[in-house]
Parts: sequence; structure tokens; C-alpha cells
Amino acid sequence: MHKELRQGNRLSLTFRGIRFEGTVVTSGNGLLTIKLRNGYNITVPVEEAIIESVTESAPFQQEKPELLEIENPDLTIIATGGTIASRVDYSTGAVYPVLEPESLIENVPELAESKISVHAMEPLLSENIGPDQWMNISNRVRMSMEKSRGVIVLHGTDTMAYTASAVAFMFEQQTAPVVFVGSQRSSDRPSSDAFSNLSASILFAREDLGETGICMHGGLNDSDITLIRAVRARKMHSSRRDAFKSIGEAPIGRLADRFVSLTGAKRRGDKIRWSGKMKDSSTLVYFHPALQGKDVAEMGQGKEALIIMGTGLGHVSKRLYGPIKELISSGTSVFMTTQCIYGSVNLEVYSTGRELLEMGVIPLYNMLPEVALVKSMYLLGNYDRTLLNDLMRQNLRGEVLERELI
Amino acid sequence: MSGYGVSKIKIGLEIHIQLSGKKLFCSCQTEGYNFHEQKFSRALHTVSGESGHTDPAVIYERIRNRTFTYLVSSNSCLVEADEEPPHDINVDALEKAIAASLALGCTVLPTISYMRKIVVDGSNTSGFQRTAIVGVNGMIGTSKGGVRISNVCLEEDSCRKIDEASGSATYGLDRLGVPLLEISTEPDIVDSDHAVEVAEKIGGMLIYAGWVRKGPDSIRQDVNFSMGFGRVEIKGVQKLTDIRNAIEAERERQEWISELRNRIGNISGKVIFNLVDAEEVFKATGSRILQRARASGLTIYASRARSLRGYLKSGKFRLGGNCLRW
Repeated sequence: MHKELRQGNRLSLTFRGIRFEGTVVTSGNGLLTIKLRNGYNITVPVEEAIIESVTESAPFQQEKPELLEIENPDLTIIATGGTIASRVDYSTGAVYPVLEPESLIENVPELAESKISVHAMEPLLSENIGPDQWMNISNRVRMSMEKSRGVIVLHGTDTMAYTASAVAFMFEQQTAPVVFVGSQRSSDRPSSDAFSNLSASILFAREDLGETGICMHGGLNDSDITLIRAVRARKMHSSRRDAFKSIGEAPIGRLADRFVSLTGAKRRGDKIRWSGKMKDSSTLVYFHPALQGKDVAEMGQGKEALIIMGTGLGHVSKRLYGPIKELISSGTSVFMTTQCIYGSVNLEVYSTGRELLEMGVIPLYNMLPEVALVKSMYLLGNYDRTLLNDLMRQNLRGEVLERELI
Repeated sequence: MSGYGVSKIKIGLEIHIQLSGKKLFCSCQTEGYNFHEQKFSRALHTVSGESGHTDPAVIYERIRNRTFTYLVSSNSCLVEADEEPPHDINVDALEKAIAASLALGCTVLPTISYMRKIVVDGSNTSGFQRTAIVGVNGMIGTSKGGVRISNVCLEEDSCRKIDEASGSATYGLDRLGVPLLEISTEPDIVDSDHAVEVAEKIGGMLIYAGWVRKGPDSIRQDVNFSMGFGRVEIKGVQKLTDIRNAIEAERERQEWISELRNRIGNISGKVIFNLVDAEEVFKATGSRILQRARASGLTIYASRARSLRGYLKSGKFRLGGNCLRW
């Protein structure tokens, strides 16, 4: 009988002589959790619970995702999942991805003010999004851009900077802003940042902006939202609302007290120039003092590009010289970035740097390591292999800062 | 059996007791703090609760559309700021909750599960309070018979309200997350003296154990009172003497309402309120209550209160004020 208990069943049971009435929240692992009439939950071992009566009732209300694709929209929202489009599953306590336009619309008045088309892709947590999905998302962004004046992508924050960078590289020129937006608190919480972030993303998506950016909190206040250039954005905190930082430059957009300001952002182009391929033949290595040469050799084997996150100005231990030389001679391009995240590599200062340069290691200025990884996949997917080393050092989408201000 | 000789009187208490030591879901201290200059502001949004339904209080707050400012205290961290998920539960507080449950004759549940109680008046940065039942079905002996204990819960205390204006409220993070024992009795209490005795017995037990946080508001009582016209909850009573006063005042209020009901029932014909929009009449009103109501977007309606002369406000009768509240 216990196995038949389903979420939403009303039941009464006796546990150690005490009678409880309520609704099943979850049943599993030998435990039964019910919600009592007063709203509290109790959990008892199923073996000890004498279940007296069970009545079927409607399961907990789960809003069904309603697709709102419309003709000739002003803006398009592409939902890929993530916390912004998630809610907690009270039967397991875990957050799962789902799109609930009703709850979003109720709390984001801007959604009702514009003609917005919502396209829901298979909801994914962002750790499950990789190069294949970047191509799908970018293709969907391109299709939406052809039909609307702004594109918003709902995305999990963990790997949002990778996807946004991939989309940024794939658009050599764009006719509309592409605004990636996420949240750090799921939208089933009254305090969720999903609503203020989404609301701001709509305002940014209406601007004269020809770039791809990430729209999240700029501080702890709900009224302070920033738009960061995708190729300079990095998630720098695991849980804070203002986790995303614009590394080495000011955000390109800011919404403060309902007022949008843009700084140094590219304007809309007159036509779309897009190449949407990604070649997954690159990898990223984080140097640490115990890293062994054979580990680097294994990671780089068969790859066309190896991005190293070196220490300081771009250094690795002499132990790795051999494997690096071998990789380069076997045709792998080896690039250097800094694990300091802030600042530029410079291989001319110390002897280590000069030795690496002599071996053929290519320094990537202040390009973020993850952005370098994505960029190499984009270049390998769309350009001749012989152009890789040269194009990696060219500033294509603002990924290299020529000046870092004080 | 009632101290008033009126069989319908029922009194129950919810006693909230702050525990000293660390907070319930982080390592911040409950005592000894000061406020920093740092603050941040948030809005709260309508979401459906665990059951998928939206609470009327939640809808009311959405209409108010308020902004909440939080003052950062030295005993608050990212957990209180709702910038980090809760840490593991404070085991010391849990042990005290179990011990208190046992001392009150409760059955302690073998597993406790925390639930979210949606609270969107801004007093919780998350928009909900984490709360769980630890013990059930206890009993304490008193001079007027046994009083059953329905639940002992261990929950997180809310923020302290510092200031409130139209459209905004300011809260301090110092109190948020302090472990709070909520001990609820069944309505077995027979009169106000008895209520004081029960509150003293339960609160005293924890004070003598040395577990209660030091502070003027570390123990707060909610009084549930009913004498046959529905249950009234009087919230946040701090002093023991106030419990007695609150019960007596509520009993008197319900007594004259009851008397009034009988008198109105005897008026020939029915008392009918025909409410009409009276905005024009009150455009330039000097009444501050009405001014405030109009400023917050409410509409004023008026009706002739036929046959109610002397009842709305006269002597002990205060029907007007009660109408307003309802």
C-alpha cells in the first residue's frame, strides 16, 4: 500500500499513537513526508506509520509551460533553462528547470508591455550545455534576430559566460542586441532576482545595441542591474546576485533606478553576419605547482588548441617544457592566459616567459581563459586552421582590452 | 470548566523563545552586534507556495508594491542577505529544541523536515520563513489542570522592523535567523491568570536552563482567544502582565460586541448598508485616516447607518472602529 502513495494524496495515519492528517509531499527511501493542515511538514518512517485512509486528490498544481510564440514580435525570449526558469520540486527539495511564463509575466510588467515571443528550448541546467548547444542556441538567436528587434536568452548562470561568448563570436555583425539573462535565486522564491533581471533585460534589448551581453545584478540592490560584454564577463561568486563581473572594463550597460545608460557599446549593424560552427578540438589547462608533464600531454593529445591558465604573467614550471614542445611540434597550438583573471600575460619579463615564447607558446594578452577556449573553437569551426594562431591574437569582439584603466 | 463560568471561552498560547548561541542556518552570533553603514534594498514578488496556491497576504503585498531596505549588522552574513543558501542546521539549537520537547512531554519526530512559510511583508529577505516541527502531543500540569502542547517548532526569527513609510520599510538583519522555539498549546487555558501561569511555566523552564537569548524581546507570545464568535489572535505580546491585559481587553470587547449583536437583532427591520462612492464628499477632508487611505489609492464609500445611533461610538461600544478594521 505504501508504494502506491502519490504526491497530493490526502491521508490520515497514526505514528506512535498520534494521529496526523495531511497531504503527501513525498514518499521514498523508507520515509513519508506529509503536509499537515496547519502548513507544517512532518516526516515519519513508513514502517512505523499505520496508514488508515488514503484518498485520491489532484496532485500539486504544476503550471504547464505555455508556449507564447507569436508573429512579428518586438522582442524574442529564448528559454534554455537554468535557475531563472526553474522552481523547487518540493517532493525532493531540488531545483529543476521549467518555464512558467505565467509567473514571470505576473511579476515582470514589461513582458506585457512589449510584443514578446517566447521560444522554449529543451530546458537544461547550464552545466549540461556545451558546444553542440551553443550552435543550436546561436542558430535560434539568428532566426529570432531576423524577425525581432531584440533577443533575450534565459540561461543558467554557471556556464552562461561560455555560451554568451560563443554567440558573441558567431555574430560578426548583429542587427539587434542579444541579452543573456539568468538568476541566482530560483523564481519560486519571492526574493528571486529573476524578475528584476528579466525586466532589465527587456529594457536593454530595446536599445540601439549591436552586441551580446550578460544582464545580471550589479550589486545587492534589486534596482542595480548591469549589462556586461559577453567576452569580458565572468561568474566570480557561486551564489551572490552580483556574481558576474565585467573583468578589466566597466559594464557596457547599467540600469539604475529605471534609467538605462550605455557606455562604449557597439551600435546595431545594418545586416546580420553570422557563422555558426564550433569545432570542439580545444581544451583548457589550469597550471598548479603539482601539475605533472604527463597530465598536460594527455590533455593536449589530439587537440588543435591548448589554452593554459598560467601563473602571474603567464608562467608554468620547467617540468612542463618537454610536453609543451612535443604538443607544438605535433601541430597543437598552445596559448597562454593568466589564472589571475585580472590583468594581462606578458612573456617578455621573466626568463620563463621568454623560454615559453621560444618554444612557440602564444600569449593572449588579457583575454579571459574561458573566452580564449570558446574563441579557439569558433575559429577552428569557421576559418582555415592556418589562421588560428594569428586570429587568436586579434581583437574580434572586444575580448582583448587594449587599455586597462586605473 | 472555565474561570469565567462561561463554557465557551478558549485560550491557547503560542510562545516564541529565542535561543542564544549561533543562528539557525549560519555561524553568526545571536548576541552582541552593531549595525554597519552598509545596506541594500529589495523587492519581493508573488510566487505560489509549496501547495501551488498563492496566499491572499501575498497578493495584498503585491498590490502594495513596496521596496524593502535592509541594514547590515555585524552578526549577519550572506545567508541573512539571501545571497547564499542556508548552511547545515545549528545542531546545538536542534538539541535544545528536542530537549524542550521532551521536557514538555512531547513525542519527538524521528526526522524533521523544514518547510517554507511564505512571508512577503519584507521581514524575511528570502520571502519565506524556514520552520519545522520537532515535537508533538505534549502535556504540562498546571494548577487548573493539564494543558496540552500541540507542537514544538524550531524556526528562524524574522528581521527587526526599524522604520516604515508608505511604499517602503526598513529592517535590520540582526534578528533574522535567530533560532526561535515556537511552543503552541491547545486551547485548554481557562482564564487570563491561567494563561500567565502557562506562559511563565514554559518560558521559565528555558530561562532557568540558560538557553534563552538575552534581550528585551527574546520571548514573545501570541494569544489565541475565542468565546464563541471565532478565534482572535493577539500577536507579539512580550510581558507576562500584558498577556493578562490583552485577554481581559479582548474578552470585554467581544462581550460588548455580543451585547450589541443582541440589541441590533432586536431593532425592527434590518440594518442595511447601501454603500455609495463618496469620493467627492471627502476630497478636502481634514481626517488624517481618510487622507492616508485616499493617498494609498483606496476609495471611500459611505452609507447611512440607520438605527445605529449610539452604537458606533458611545461608552463601551466602539462598533465604528471595529467596522473599520473589518
